[in-house]
Amino acid sequence: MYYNTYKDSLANHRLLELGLSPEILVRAVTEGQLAHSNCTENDPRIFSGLAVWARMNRSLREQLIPLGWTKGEKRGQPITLSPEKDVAIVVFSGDDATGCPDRIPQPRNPKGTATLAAVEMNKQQLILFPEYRHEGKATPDRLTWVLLFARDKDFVRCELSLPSAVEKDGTVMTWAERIILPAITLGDELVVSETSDEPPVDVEVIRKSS
Amino acid sequence: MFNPSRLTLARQRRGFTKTRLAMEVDVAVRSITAYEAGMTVPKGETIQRLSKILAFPDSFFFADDIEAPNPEGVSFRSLKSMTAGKRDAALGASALAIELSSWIDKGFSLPDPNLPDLQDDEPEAAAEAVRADWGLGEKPVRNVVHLLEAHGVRVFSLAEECLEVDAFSFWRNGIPYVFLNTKKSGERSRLDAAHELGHLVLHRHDLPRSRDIEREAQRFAGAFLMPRSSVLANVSGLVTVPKLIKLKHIWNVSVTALTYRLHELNVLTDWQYRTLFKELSTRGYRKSEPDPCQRETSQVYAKVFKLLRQEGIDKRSIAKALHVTPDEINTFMFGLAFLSIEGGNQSEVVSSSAKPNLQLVPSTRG
Repeated sequence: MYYNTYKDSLANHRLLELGLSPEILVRAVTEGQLAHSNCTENDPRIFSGLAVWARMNRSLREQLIPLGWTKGEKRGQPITLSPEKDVAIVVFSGDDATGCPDRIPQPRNPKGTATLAAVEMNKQQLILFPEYRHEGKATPDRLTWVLLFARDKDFVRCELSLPSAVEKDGTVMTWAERIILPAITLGDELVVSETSDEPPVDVEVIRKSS
Repeated sequence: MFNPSRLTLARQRRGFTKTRLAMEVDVAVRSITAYEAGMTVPKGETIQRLSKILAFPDSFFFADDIEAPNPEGVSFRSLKSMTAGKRDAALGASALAIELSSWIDKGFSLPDPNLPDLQDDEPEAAAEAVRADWGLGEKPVRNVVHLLEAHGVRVFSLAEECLEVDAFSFWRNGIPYVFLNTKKSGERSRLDAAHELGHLVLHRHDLPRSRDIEREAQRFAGAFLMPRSSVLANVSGLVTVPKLIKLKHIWNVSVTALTYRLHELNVLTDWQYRTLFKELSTRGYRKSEPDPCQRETSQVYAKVFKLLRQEGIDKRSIAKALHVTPDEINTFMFGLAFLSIEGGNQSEVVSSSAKPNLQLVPSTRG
């Protein structure tokens, strides 16, 4: 299956065409992880995933609305929409291939009707306006991009990708474009020893002979 | 002979205005003014009432001249928000502490002051210079009070009456003095001690008003406790609140001080710093330190008291020599006191501010 994968400076360039930057998207992912770090063992298990997803959407909007973007929600799916309404961003949690250019990622959870409809629209646009792919022109109607993120022990990997097809059951997606973003290092394996290895200070106190 | 300066000091130490003292002792305000000016000497009966109200022994008012440090030469953190009364109470307390310190100097030889004079340095550079001077390298400071004492700084705790004051310091006769509020968290108190060290090395001499000496001392404190290379070597990856709580144990600093320092060193971007600070507030960590460290106390006074105790000199005899009450002494000494057991020799130096033992008690509810 043919698709474009952008990395590093090409990724930055492609994001610029979409009116975005790696900083904005990476910050959204990072804010999501900060929300994750605020969850405790006592929160319901599904909560941390929800908190991350909610915070990433909020962060995208907080950063992009001042740049003219708008927010919307269709069939329960939050989107962030570009000023020209030709780019929409949704946030999905991805599998362990997320952010790896030589593997093909999939969303972690099956998607519902809102996603199916959005991807179907992507598909139609990409068929009707083939020049979009080659010349990077805007399509007349909206293309929905997915901000995919996946956390493992050491990193959070992420990418902004354009799905061109999805299985009817909402599981497997085919990508037309993938923009690989810088991974975020977690470094949670921090070991801090509570006892300092320096010798204690000894203050000399001498009794004067009277 | 009745010593007017001692009446002023005792009154200020207790935070009394002349009006309040006059009322409590049942004399006219102008009489108090006259006693303090040395124009009249109070009658024996009045001295007894003064002594009772101000909680100083009679003899206190007949000892040698005593003078509180000049407020100009003392670095108070929040001088603007502090009333003159609070300031004078703190200065009065410090005058008594200096007396105690001089008394100790007569009987004990303590480390000589060894502080570099760095008034022209940037705070960060000054912190590095002090570390180099004292051979600390990049290592965390295990105990700031002991470190200061080992370099000749006389460190005292602040009395109950002065709790609005975080900490203050001054030079007097070539000796550096630091006073710490011990009601704050252990981490906060360590930062205060480092802050005062900053004042002592950076602001020993009169400086132009344009310099923001509080900010300089604060930056010094952060850099002194959390050296740049040490921070950069230990902090990697995404900084979260749980990670901050782990990391702070490396340097024994508060989560807020660490967050501030990470931002200063550009480990955190502006938005990360703001986001983390907001979360620290939400969790209440700005008011109550998570996973707090133990409070530091003086090593010098612990040793002095122990040696004195071995010679059979107790708190009461020291108090008598200084014309103050035994409790008065304890307020400057981090609660380090003799555990005086009448007729016994089992006494040890203990901290009276030690945490109480908590026990689980079976519930009586059914």
